[in-house]
Amino acid sequence: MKLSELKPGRSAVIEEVGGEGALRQHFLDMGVIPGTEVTVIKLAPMGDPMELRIHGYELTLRLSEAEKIGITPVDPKTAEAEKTPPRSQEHPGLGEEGRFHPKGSGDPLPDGTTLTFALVGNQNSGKTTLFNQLTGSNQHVGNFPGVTVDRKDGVIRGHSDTLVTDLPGIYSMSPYSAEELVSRDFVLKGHPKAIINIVDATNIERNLYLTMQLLEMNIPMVVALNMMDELRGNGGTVDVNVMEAMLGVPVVPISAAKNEGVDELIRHAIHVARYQEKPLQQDFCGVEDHGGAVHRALHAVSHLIEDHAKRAELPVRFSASKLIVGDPLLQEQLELDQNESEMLEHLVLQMEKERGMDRAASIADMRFAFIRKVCDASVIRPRESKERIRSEKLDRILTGRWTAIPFFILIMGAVFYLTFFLIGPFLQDLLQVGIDALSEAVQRGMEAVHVNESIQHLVLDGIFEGVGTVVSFLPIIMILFFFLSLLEDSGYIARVAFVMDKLLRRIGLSGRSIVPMLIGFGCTVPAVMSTRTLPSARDRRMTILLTPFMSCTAKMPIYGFFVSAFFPQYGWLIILGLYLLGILTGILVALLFRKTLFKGEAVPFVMELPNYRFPTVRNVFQLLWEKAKDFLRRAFTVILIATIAVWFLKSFDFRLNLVTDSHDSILAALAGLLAPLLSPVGLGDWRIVTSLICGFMAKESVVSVMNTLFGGGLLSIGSLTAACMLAFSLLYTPCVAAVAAIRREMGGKWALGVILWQCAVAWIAALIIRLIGMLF
Amino acid sequence: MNISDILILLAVACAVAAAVLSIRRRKKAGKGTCGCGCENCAERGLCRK
Repeated sequence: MKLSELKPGRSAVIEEVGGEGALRQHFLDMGVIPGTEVTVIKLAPMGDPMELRIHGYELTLRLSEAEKIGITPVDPKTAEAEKTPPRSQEHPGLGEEGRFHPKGSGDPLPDGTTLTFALVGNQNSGKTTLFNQLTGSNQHVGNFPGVTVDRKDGVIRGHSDTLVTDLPGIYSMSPYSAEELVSRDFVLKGHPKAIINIVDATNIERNLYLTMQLLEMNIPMVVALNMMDELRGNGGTVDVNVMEAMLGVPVVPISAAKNEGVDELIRHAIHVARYQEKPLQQDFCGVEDHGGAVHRALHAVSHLIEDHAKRAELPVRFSASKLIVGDPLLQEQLELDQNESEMLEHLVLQMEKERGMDRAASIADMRFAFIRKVCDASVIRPRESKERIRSEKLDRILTGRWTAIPFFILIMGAVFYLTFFLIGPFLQDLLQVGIDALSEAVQRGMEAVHVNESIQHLVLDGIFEGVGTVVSFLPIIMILFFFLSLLEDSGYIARVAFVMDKLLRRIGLSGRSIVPMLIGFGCTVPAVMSTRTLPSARDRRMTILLTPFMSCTAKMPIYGFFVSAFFPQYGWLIILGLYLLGILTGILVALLFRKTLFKGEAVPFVMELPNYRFPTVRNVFQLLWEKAKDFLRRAFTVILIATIAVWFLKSFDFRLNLVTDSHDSILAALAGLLAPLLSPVGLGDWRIVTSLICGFMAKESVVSVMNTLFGGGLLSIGSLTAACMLAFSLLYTPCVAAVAAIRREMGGKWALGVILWQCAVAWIAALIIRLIGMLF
Repeated sequence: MNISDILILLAVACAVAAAVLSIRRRKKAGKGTCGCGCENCAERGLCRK
């Protein structure tokens, strides 16, 4: 029987794992190995993908992937059977002074050596929260696998000779996605003095799988058992002494969110790094396990490649286990000769024959067997966590068959309504009143001291109109980010990916692509960066090319500006229509790409569903503060300069004489060169061209420049041109920051392609609107 | 041109110089000016990821 045929609520034991390559290895790394019990929780509303529980956590798989997994149905294991009382033992005292060497003795690294640490752990295990506690920084944390997509460095508070690097979350040292490569490369090539391995204590079995591989790296290490407060709160616990003795590295229980145990963790981490105390345990393969087939193969291969591993400066044990599973990167680095390669193959074939499992499954099974031993000896599992029960209740509605999509629409509708029509405009009006009052006061002051009229224009029509208009949109942008942050931190966004997978597959994408798209409604730059969590280059590229079509908050000032001037009675309809136009264009472009540039299917949907959590006030407000600061900084730097530059160019001619009519200005002459290109879509006015060019620097400056150039005469362009302008602004080239992000992810040619392609799409859309408008 | 004109122009010039210096300083420090995270400021976690 196949896993795809198992009904929700039923359990089974995995018999075989099909598939091939990186995906199969990923299955194995996530704990989908023969002999493991799996329970189907539910199917997504559209019948695909499915949600499973395995090793105590929730995993999603598409039915087409589940078809590759052979099972035998069983009755679910009772919680009682799993519960084993821990053995207590004396504290091993690893990573502490006094046990292995008295204080002041030992062989520490020379004074002045920077102690570098790699912070490594599974996705969503709390690495960034711990990083913030360790370093006192304010990195954004979320409740979605893959919040950290690049490495970040910081100094541990009070220890200036340290440097800790927060790495993207990984499930194993077999890289499956681009972010996992970043982590693996740093640990292998960055030569950190020690590793801080963060383990989610509420999901200990799967987390320890990575720990096993990190121990094989033979680098000094400390295990930080995070979320211990949650585990204890649910009646579970870990006998740290037993676990420490079995793993051979210091184990420190902590709660990163509550800053509990972090000081002790720092002491241990610094100690193992300074004294280079390597793991005592690396040999996890049992001599007796299944006749010791894996054990003998691993040791034989270790001896065979020892000299090569030393030459390549790679850990022997790690290299041996990776070679057995056929890691191509390792094979290349070790440069085995033909005899050795053949000998290796014979050894592995013999192991497969004796173990009755293929090579990758044998190694994964060996690791999980050791993990089971560790957990049986040291962990009291909670019966069912409060967080899990809460998540299940919420999921009955939020991912329920008939309720998921209506609730998604309801939630997103509520977010947009509250942001753009209720709270946002109210706060915006308040701010605008303040800006206007300030502007009037400045005007009265300048008139009182008889300031030159041109200078008054510069200050009032240039700076106050331009920068002031943009700043007034701060509340709306803050509120949208506030809601997006709540959705992400709560764990809902991960569910949206689960619910939307089948729908997105129709346009050639995976459910995970919904996350960058949703972030794209906030800002394209982080949206582009978040595509790194997608495991295939095809999906990454396609998603990157689609995210700019999702209307970002920087375009809100443009919509607000035109809608209030031309369509005040249809305000919300027009704005909603623009958002839908962006989405619709994205879908059409995706369908086009699927048939041309990106043929083929989206990658498998293998993703962990985190429990719902209450977003922390600190986290949300910290994010809002950062966004507000960045927005204001931009308004008073880039936009201020652009506004003044535009004022200068429109006020002077090429001989630097003040012009009475801005048609004679430098700006009119320069923008006039591009105007013929935009004339067919009704945007040939040099003032519109100028504002669109300035919009490339920052979208908000479209409004400030138009304000400066048109003054009170905006209505003269007519409502049809305004409609074309709205569509063009929505779809034309992303801003320079977004293009830079695209260039970084895909290269210069793609970035240039995006600029030209989106301008073409915008031009066509504006032309269609113009033609339709001309019919009426 | 009176003294108030000169003072206002000086203030505007100072604001522009401060803005340019701020952009240059942040660029040199590897931080972005984009507000929502260019590649550099995103890499340093100054923006939402």
